[in-house]
Amino acid sequence: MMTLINVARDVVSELFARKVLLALLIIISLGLLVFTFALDLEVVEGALAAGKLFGQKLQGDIVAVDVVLRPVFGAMTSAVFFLGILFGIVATSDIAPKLLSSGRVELLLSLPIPRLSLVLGTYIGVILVAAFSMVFTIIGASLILFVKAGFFTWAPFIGALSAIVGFASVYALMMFVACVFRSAALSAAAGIFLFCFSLLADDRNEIPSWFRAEWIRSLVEVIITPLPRLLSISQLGPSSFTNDALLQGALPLWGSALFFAATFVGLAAFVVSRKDY
Amino acid sequence: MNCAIEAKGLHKDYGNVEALRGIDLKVPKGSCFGLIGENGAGKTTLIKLMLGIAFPSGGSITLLGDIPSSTEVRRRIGYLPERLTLSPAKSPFSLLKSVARLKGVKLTTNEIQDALQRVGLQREAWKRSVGKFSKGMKQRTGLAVALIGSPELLILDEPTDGIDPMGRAQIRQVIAEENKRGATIFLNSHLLAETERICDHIAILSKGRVVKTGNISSLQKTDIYEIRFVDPPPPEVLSKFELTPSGHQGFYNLHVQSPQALTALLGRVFEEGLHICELRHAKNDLESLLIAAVTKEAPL
Repeated sequence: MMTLINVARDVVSELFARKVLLALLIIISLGLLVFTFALDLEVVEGALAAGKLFGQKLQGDIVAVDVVLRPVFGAMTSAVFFLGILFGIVATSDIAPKLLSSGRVELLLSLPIPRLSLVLGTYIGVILVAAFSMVFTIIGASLILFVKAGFFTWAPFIGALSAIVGFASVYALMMFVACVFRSAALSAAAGIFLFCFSLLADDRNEIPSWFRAEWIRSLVEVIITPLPRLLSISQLGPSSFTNDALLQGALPLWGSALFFAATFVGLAAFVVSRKDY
Repeated sequence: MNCAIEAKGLHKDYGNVEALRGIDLKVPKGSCFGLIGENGAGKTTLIKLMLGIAFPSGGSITLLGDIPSSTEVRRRIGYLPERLTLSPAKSPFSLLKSVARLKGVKLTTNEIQDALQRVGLQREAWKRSVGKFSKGMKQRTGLAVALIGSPELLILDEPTDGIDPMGRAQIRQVIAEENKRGATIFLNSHLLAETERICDHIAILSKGRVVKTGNISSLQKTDIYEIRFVDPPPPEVLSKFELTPSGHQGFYNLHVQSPQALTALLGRVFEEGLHICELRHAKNDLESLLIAAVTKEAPL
């Protein structure tokens, strides 16, 4: 267990040394700063008398703060989900290939680290960094809204959790590709492909219906079924403001995405455990 | 024999290519063991099998009495790979800290500084990122990493590659100190003169097989003496004593089986009125040993 933690810590310190974390924090902080100045709210007794975001009026009449802020929270959680995952793919695609590169993997494998710990530790380290940046954004934005409107909800955290689960499933495939091919470009391509394709394939009946031949439809269904439903997962955050019942569907969605992630991390560990370096 | 490394019938195939074809090797504990051989002989493959970086197709190998995949054994090993790639964003200081943590070794700031100083890394480079380092500086950092935790077995693959002559002497000194401390050194180097200077045992690898192994001084031993006269002897004397020109300027080779035979022969030489100004026991240098072992020709 300590080995696993140490490998993850090493990956985090690597990302820190490469200033990826710093870049993330600067980008997020700048975004939050812009958000702070762009949001102008006037709250009177729990209701929003006047509100502007980027100069646009948020509402016509005096309404409850939570109702007005729903789209703001929705946009915020969606931005964290989509931008967070895309930035994560770009920023972390070379982590595993570099660890497994010739001259470096030899040194790592000569250390008292089981190969399984090397794969799992790397995966956990990357997910921790992604999770930190996503939660940091949500906490920052929630604090701004709390200070400006005196309103707080846990709903954005559901969005952040969804983004972490989504990224965990995407990075698992990237990790597997990296372990097989040791290529950052292929790893990033796999991540972007999964991200885009799973958004398209969110409706499981949509893509199979494009094909006439029954066997192709069946084949496409087999391919699509285990994919994480990223579009549905991305909607969990915004939806949770309005409908608690939607959250009941969260567990199966998160569960299937995490199962997908576990499968590919397991496959990556299997590849690494048997490979000659 | 108490062995630090022991390989029995070690085979390694990469598809149809046989990289190692039945290696039997014993590296005595506390020795400084050199591995030499031509390019593609299987030296790096052998090292990879030793460290569990690659898996054998057949046979077995043990390090310090355990299998290479044992994490306990790896804690007692230091390794410097041939084509070392270090995390470019990290400084040598943070690299050493990180590897020590992964190895389960607690290093104080002073110990890290001592380790970096020992391998000759300048103080101003300690906190600079490794990505900006020259090859020699990277190599020195790699050696400092290998030395973490005072390992019982040090496996060094081309440790002085890219290092200047002064630096090489410094590295040789570090290796000698480690050996003196009791660590077994396993050295793979293309620099035969260096292997000759550092090692007390060698193995010659050719086409995936160990073709010669043993104590370096006994392998280098010959029944040839090199002799130099004050004045060059006439041809009839040369043929009488079967003297053949040696590879060294002004020297002749003298083949004798024992010191007694040498004394008797020298007596006859003096009787001829010849004056000797230099006499030395010739030994096979590693280059000739390697060439002879690889081409199956007799050395010298």
